[in-house]
Amino acid sequence: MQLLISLSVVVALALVASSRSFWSLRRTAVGAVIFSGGWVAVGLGLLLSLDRLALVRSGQVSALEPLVHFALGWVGLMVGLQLRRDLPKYLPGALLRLMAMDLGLALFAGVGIWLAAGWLLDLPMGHPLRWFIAAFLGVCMIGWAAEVRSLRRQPAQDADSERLVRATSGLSSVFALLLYGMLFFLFDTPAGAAVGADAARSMGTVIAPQRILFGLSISILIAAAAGWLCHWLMRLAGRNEGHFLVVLLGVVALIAGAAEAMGEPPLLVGMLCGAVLVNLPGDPVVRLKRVLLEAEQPMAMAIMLVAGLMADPVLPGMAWAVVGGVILLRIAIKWKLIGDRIARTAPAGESALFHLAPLRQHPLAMAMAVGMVITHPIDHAAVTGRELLMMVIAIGLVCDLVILLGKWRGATATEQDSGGLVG
Amino acid sequence: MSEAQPRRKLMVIILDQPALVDELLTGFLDLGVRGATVVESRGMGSIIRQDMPIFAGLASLFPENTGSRMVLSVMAESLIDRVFSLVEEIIGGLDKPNSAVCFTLPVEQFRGIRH
Repeated sequence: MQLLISLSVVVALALVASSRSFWSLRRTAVGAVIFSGGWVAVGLGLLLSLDRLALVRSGQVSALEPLVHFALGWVGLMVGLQLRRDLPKYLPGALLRLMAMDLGLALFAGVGIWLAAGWLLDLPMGHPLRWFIAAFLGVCMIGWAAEVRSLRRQPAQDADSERLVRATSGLSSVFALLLYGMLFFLFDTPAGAAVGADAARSMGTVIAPQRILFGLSISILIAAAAGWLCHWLMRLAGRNEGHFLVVLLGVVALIAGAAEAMGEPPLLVGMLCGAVLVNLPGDPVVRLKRVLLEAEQPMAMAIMLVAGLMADPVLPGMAWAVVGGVILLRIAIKWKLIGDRIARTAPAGESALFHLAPLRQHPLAMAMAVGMVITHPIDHAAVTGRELLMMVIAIGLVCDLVILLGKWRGATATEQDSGGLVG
Repeated sequence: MSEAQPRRKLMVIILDQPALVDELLTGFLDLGVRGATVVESRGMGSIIRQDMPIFAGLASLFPENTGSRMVLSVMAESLIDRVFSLVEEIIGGLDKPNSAVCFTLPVEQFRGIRH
């Protein structure tokens, strides 16, 4: 019954997300922040999983795992399909500098979280879980949301800064997924996990560097095989829309299933498969890209809903301290340093608003966190996977609230082009 | 006084599969349609999606390849039904989503020949 409820909500949300009236809502500034961030779906998920309502229990969400794997594979494919061979020639000049700064920040944040985790979560220095939390939250720090319409006063006006925000966001997501994949190969579950999963989970994770090369090779092999197969089948399907759809769904299911069976992250395998596919010649790839992108919003909504269902809303105080620290880092470095560089290329009257753009968390962070809870369950006394997911949700939500506040202040205050909105 | 012109219509075809443009133009020639203009086009949904990406931020960087082409052709009214049938045949049914949209508009005046 509870599975039916969650499944019905996922389907209903996906239908609403693909409706035209929903799109018109998304075109308002507040609507764009709320719906692009997926906050309605996350809120609904949290509400459904509340203990008082007990409509859906987090344990029962595991029954939806195959569907979640499918959605993650789909998202990975979408990210990978952007990796065209000729991508470098379309990248704006300032992008690499911004990306370097952003990756440096992620590293800095990772170190900070590692230090804080020892003190706040009481994890000893060499504990793999301490390294895992630092590395995972560091990876989630990479990039920012590509959606900038909500920030703009004149969305119709073409702006270099908009291209810069989107391009850096897009490329960052590729790096983030690569690092995320490596993270999962690096932090393995203990050998006893298959036998006594509960005991193993309570131990946390073990560091297994030798798995990186092996895991990456397996991911590449699955992705290459699925990519070639998909390309061949799409050619066979020809113009038949029904056959085309069956091939598409089959390949995403294959990616998700193979990744799950081999212990690989479906997001990474999907991305690698997309990168293979987009560089193969032929018209079917254009169709594939269109169909995948058309379902971007419903897929995002489904993942955000699952994130809400799986997250543990009751975070211990120490976890909130980590969340606060990460948000402060985002504000201090992303908003101030990176935002300043982006704002320089902004059209007159919008520079302060573009300052805010890098503050927003990339929605991919939520997808990565959902993937982490499913494929890499952590049930340690210091922190659980569900709590980590909630931390990612909280960081994203607070940053989006800051954005809305900043936009509101920007609308009411006289803008000073040289500085940010604060002050 | 200009001589009486045959009744003409502007046929507008929006194809969601660009690979079919070649087949369509060949079909036009077989039917006796003497010219057409093909324009790269973008649908409203594609613009809106690209405007507000969630996971695919790089998509807006590439030169547009939306998979949509608009074919414009002024032709004799007598050809219209056959052109509709041609489009149906090539697409395999206009009632399917993401196939094509076609419609005609009356042409008040027509001057100039480009062939």
